[in-house]
Parts: sequence; structure tokens; C-alpha cells
Amino acid sequence: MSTAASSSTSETIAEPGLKIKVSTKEGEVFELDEKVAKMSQVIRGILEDLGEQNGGDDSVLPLTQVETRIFRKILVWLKYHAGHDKEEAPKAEEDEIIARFCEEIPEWDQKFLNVDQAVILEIMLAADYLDIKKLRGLCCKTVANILKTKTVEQIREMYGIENDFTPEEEEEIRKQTAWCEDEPPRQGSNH
Amino acid sequence: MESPDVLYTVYYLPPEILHEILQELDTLTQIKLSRVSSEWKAALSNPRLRKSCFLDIKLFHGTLHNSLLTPFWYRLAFCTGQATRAIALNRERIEDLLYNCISERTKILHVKLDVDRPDHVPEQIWSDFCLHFIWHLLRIGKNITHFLLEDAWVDGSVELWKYFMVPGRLPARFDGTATPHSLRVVSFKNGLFSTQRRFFPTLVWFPNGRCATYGGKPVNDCVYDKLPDGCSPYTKIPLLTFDLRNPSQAEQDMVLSLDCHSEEVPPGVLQTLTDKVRNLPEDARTRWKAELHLNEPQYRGVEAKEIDLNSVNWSTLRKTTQHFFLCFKAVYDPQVHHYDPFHGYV
Repeated sequence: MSTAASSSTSETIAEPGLKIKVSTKEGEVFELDEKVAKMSQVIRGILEDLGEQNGGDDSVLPLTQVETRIFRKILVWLKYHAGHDKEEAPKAEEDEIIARFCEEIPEWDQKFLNVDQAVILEIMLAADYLDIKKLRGLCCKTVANILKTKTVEQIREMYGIENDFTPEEEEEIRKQTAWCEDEPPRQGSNH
Repeated sequence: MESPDVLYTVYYLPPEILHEILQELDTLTQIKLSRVSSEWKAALSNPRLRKSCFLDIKLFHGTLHNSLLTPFWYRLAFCTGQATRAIALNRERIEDLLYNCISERTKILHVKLDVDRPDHVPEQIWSDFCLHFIWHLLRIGKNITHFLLEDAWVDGSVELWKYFMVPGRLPARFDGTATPHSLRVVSFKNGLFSTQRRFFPTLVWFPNGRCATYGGKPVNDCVYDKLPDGCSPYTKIPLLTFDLRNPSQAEQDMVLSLDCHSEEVPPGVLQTLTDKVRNLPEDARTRWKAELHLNEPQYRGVEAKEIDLNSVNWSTLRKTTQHFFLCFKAVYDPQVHHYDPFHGYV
């Protein structure tokens, strides 16, 4: 996978067109193409509020919740998708679900998210903060795929979650979900 | 063990994100995760999650094998004379499964029906089983608006969309009505469509072993055989969506998808059409010309009666048109043809 090095401040000379400056939690400043920046609905909203007058000046949009190392990764994703995706109108919830059903996670995105779960979660939170719906959705799907393969105990251990059910509650839940937990009788099967 | 970063991040996951993650999970996994902690149980009890339901039948398959196949095994028992004691043992379990997962709140039902077809069961019977199962799901989920089917065997018949207009218990064509169900969109992903029966009258099998056909009218007023040997009996379509509010478009999309994804008919099989056309009676010749004029762009500008059937290059026709001619037996005449439940119109 390519690195996000191309997004640092040292490359402000890059391409022509309107540039947007943003700063990360640590104060590092990045200069983004307008199209790339506007894939974040948060940045888009700020720019619209400002009447897009800040493009030519030195104002910097502070992204105080995003660490530099995560922003570098997100920038890689934004740049790739800015060049490959068509702009889509916002969808209703049902249509979002249909769209997710119809699409597999593209190979490029699978490789992009083939990282530690800790990093996926951080990308997911940053994508949520920046309101990049598609990236957030991809991260959620990836985490869900991880959860599918784990037992309840493994999930508790993985995320450090304490089993706070009383024995009575556990028994009650076990009864409620018994229908999908136990092996059925097999006698009499014809196949 | 995950790094402390993971523990920290999960602990502070906003509810909206947790909801989005949980929404991606199939229902069995959701139920499993409700045992993690009271917080997760609460998140999984969110009524918003009940709006969509994802059944991955493969996950149930190991534990509910017989019961899932109940309608099918009833029928096979009828066909083979075998007793299927397992049906009775497991019937309750499949009902538990479905009624626990699908409710009146369910608006979106996503079913991954990736169950291996037993080798000895023909494709058409298997697609029939899938249809029975689908109807059952739709009867339980009365308010489903979007039905997403993955890896299902589906009857590839003309006007398939009508099968999803569910008036209570039976499909629309059975009683000739089309009472609207809440269903608006049906989407098939990686569906295997039985093309062998595209023009063949559809049989419905009931648990008691009896069968019937919908409507009682032959498709497009013709009588058909199955596709000849050598043609693929089914077509795999990566994605096909029916908007039931726009039926004519649904049928067009189905035809386009079949044209695009059906396997090529072997040249030797197509060659039989040249012989077939020589022996066609006059009414059939007229019907074939009308079919070409209606469905083939190259004949749209020509008067149907002007078309010379002896000069048609069969290999250039759309696959669905090729299938029509290959299956064609005669123009339907109620004085001559009658319906046989096992062989269609004879």
C-alpha cells in the first residue's frame, strides 16, 4: 500500500486549483485539493459557512480530534476515492442498505483496511468526526466481519468488556436464545 | 489480546457507530452478541435494529438443516416415498428461527440463501423450494418493503416479479389477482435463475404433495418444451433488482440481464432451429415473425409479415429470443392443448 507521505506540508506546491488548509490535533498543517477536502461533510459545511472565501488566504481549519498519523491514512483514502468515485446524492436509509447489499468491499479498500483493528477503529472514529460516511461504513463492515468470527468470550477479552450479567440474567438470556444455540436432534435424517 | 488502544476505542464508541456495526451483522450473530454485556444487549435491543433483518442461512444450516428444508422435504418424501421423521422433530425450530428474527417491524429483509443443492435434486425443484421459503418469509414479514436475496436459486420464468405480489397466502398468479403487499423492491445478488422453465408453466407444490399451476394460461399464448439438452439450465445474474412499483421495467430488466448473462447456446443446438422452421405450421410462422419484430432490434423496421424466417441468422438473436424459439412447441389452442401438472401444456 502506498504511504500518505504526499500529504504533508512540504508539498504545498502541488497541483493548481483551490487549496484548503487543515490542521491536525498536533497542529500539523496539510494542504488539500478542494475536491478531496469536500469529501468530508464537516469540512464542506465549514467552507460553505465561510462562503468559500478562505481558499486564497492563509486560514487553517482545525481538526482537533484527528491525530496526524490517522489523518495521513485518511488522506490516502480520500485522494484515491476523489479520483475514482462519482459524486452521489445523499440516500435514504433503506437505499443505503440496498447499496451496501449490492456492493462488495472493493479490493483497494480491503487492502487499505488490512491493518490492526486498533487502527481501523481510530480511522472509523475520525471518519465519523469528519463525516466521511463511506469510509465510516467500510470500517463498520470490516469490524462487523471480525466480530462474526469471534465467540462471546473472545469478544469480551478482545475489547476488555466485563460480563456484568448476574447468573440469573445469564440463565434467562440462555433460555431466550437456546433456539439458535443448540444442535438439533439428527436422528431420522434422510440425507 | 488486543492492544490497549482497541480497548480504549471500543469503550468510547459513539452509539451511532456501534449501531452501524451491529446493523452489518446477521441476526444470529446479533443474538450471540447480546450475551457479551448488558450494554451490548441494550444496543442490540434498539428497535431501530429490528427495522432490518439479515438472515445468513448458511449459519443456521448446520443446526437447522432439516427444518429449513421442511417444505422441500415434504415434497421429496412424496416423490420418493421416504418418510422424513426429522421434519417433525425440527419443524418447531425453523418456526422459532423465523418468528424470532422477522417481525412486523421488519422493513428490510436480507436473506443469504447459500445452501448447497443436493446433487440428486434438479435445479428446477431446488428453485421451487427457494420460492416456497421466500413466500413463507414474506408471509411472516408483512411490512417488508425491501427484500434482498443472496445466492438463491430462483425460477427464471416470464413475469417473475409477479411472484412477489403476495396477497396473504398465495402468489398473485395463483388466483389471478395482484393485491399489493408492502413489498416495493426485490433485489437478487448472485441469483441462479432457472432458464429451463422460463416459458414452462410453473408448478406449485404443496406440503401434501399436490401441485397446481398459476393462472392456467400458457405464457404468451404458446405451448413450450423445456430447453433442449446442451443449453445451460440456469443463468447466474450478479445483480437484478425489481422495483415492483414499475412492473414493465422489472420485466425489461430481467430480459436484459438474461440476455447479458446467459451462456451461449451451442451452435449445434441453434442449428436445429433451421430444421424446426421448415416444419412450422402457418400460425406458428406468423407467431415467430411477430416475436422477431417485437424483440429483435434488427427486425423492428421491417413489417412482421415481410420477415423471411429461412434467412434468419439465429446466432445473432438475443439469448431470450433464442430460448423462446428453442422451447416453442405450438401456438396455444384450447381445443387441442390441455394442462398436465407434470408436463405442462401438452
